[in-house]
Amino acid sequence: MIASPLAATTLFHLGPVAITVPVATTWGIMLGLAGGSRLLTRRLALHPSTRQAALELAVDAIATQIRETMRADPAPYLPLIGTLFLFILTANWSSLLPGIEPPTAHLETDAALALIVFCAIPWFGIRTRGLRGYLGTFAEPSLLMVPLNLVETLTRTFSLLVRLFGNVMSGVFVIGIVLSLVGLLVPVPLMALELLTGAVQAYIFAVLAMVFISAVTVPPRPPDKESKAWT
Amino acid sequence: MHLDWSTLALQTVNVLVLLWLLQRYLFRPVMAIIAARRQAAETLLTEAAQQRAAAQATAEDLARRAQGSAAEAEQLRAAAQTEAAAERARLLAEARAEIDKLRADAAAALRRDRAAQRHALESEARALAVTIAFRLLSRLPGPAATAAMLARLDADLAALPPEQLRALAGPLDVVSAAPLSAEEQAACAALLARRIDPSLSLQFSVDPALLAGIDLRAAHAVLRRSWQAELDRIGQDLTLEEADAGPVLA
Amino acid sequence: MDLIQIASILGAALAVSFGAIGPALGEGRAVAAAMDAIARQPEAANTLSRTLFVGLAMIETMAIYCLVIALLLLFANPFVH
Repeated sequence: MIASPLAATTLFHLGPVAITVPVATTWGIMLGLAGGSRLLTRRLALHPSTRQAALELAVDAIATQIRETMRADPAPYLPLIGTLFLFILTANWSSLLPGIEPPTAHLETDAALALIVFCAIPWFGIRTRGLRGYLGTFAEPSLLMVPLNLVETLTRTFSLLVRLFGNVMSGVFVIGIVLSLVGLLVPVPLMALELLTGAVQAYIFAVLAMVFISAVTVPPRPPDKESKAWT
Repeated sequence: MHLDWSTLALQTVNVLVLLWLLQRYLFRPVMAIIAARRQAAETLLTEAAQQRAAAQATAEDLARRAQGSAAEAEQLRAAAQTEAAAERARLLAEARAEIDKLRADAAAALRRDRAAQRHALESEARALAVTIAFRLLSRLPGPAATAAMLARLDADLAALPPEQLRALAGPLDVVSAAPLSAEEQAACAALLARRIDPSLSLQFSVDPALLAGIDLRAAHAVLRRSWQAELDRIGQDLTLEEADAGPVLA
Repeated sequence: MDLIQIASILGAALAVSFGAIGPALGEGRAVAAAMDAIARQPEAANTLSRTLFVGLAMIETMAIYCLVIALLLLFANPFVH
């Protein structure tokens, strides 16, 4: 019998807190990302080196995506959206390293990410439109929509969580099954597909976070077809 | 379904810490350097625009100055042309006046010369004519001429006004070219006595220069009816006529 | 093996198999429509492909839900003790 993908094995206990494998992997990813960016951004110059140019290109690409999707200045959203995208991408692709299971294949990590987005939405909404303006977004098409919108905030968070979890976990699961059956070379195309899926899921998570946030920050426009459709 | 709450909490904290770390070490510096570069580019562009504007202003200034100097040159040239034209006109006028004057002088000189020449020629011709007439008349027979002369004298005396007749009264000298015969003297004395005064004392004398005719010479008046006098008068008349017609010929 | 386990396995298989049909059809239609749109307007390919990816992920979510249900039935079945 294959181990349940819903349960995480405990590595050790730090006092009363059990440290599970995803937490440890996340620490590793944090270390890699923060250390790498610290190393890359140590010597920034107006005349960029090749590495700096590539780094700026990547960050600017994220900023451009935010600007195009939210139609707003990307500066306040860049840290959150960029961190979500980079972390999920790194976590999804960490399965390339042998013996490492992506933290996003575990429900707790995805739940943590979804929770952060869930809290970020009112934070940005209140910051840009004020408390009254943010609460007004619940009655946006009409007052009748208030209960539906309230339910929607919960369900979209849940769908965000389940989408990421299901995609990554199913990939890991399928690769595990194929590995247990054939072992050599056959899982390689599936792993390549998993890379694509991981990148697309990271992108989609970031885009959905942007859309949810911009739905409460951008003033309502009648022909707004993008923000309301995806929930 | 089992959800490990401690793991969830740990992962949330982890992601938040990662967010802080990435913002601190990745996004903020990169965005700062991008903004700095954009600022630098903006500054550069602004400076370039300013410099271009300054260059354009300088070029316009130069063009304006060039235009101004061209206009000035044009003005100077026009002034010089006007001046030259005036000078030329003045010179022309002067030259023309001088030419006119010269021509007039020349014409006057020519006229004068011609008049003098003509005058000389005419006086010569007159003298010649008088000489010819003189020689011609000296060959005339005396008595016939004297008779005609006496008749004319008679007519002239009849036409004279009385005060001139009175001036002829007194001792009278009758001068003729040839010596008068006795009858002639008697005729003359009778004529004079009839016309002037019956108690007239007469004295007859001869002067060949008279050619013909008679001159009556009183103490205060002379009545010249000789041919010499006639010739003299004719010569004077010709001279006067020539003087009148002179400018027309010139 | 008792009846609950048999039913759970059957339910999981049915959920995945039938739950995959609808999203598969939907994804096919979505990709076809996107191709058509890109062929008509190649200059809008960027926006179209971004929207297509997000839309595909949305549709795929339905299948993923079925998979999660199946996994719940298999590994976290509340009726199996």
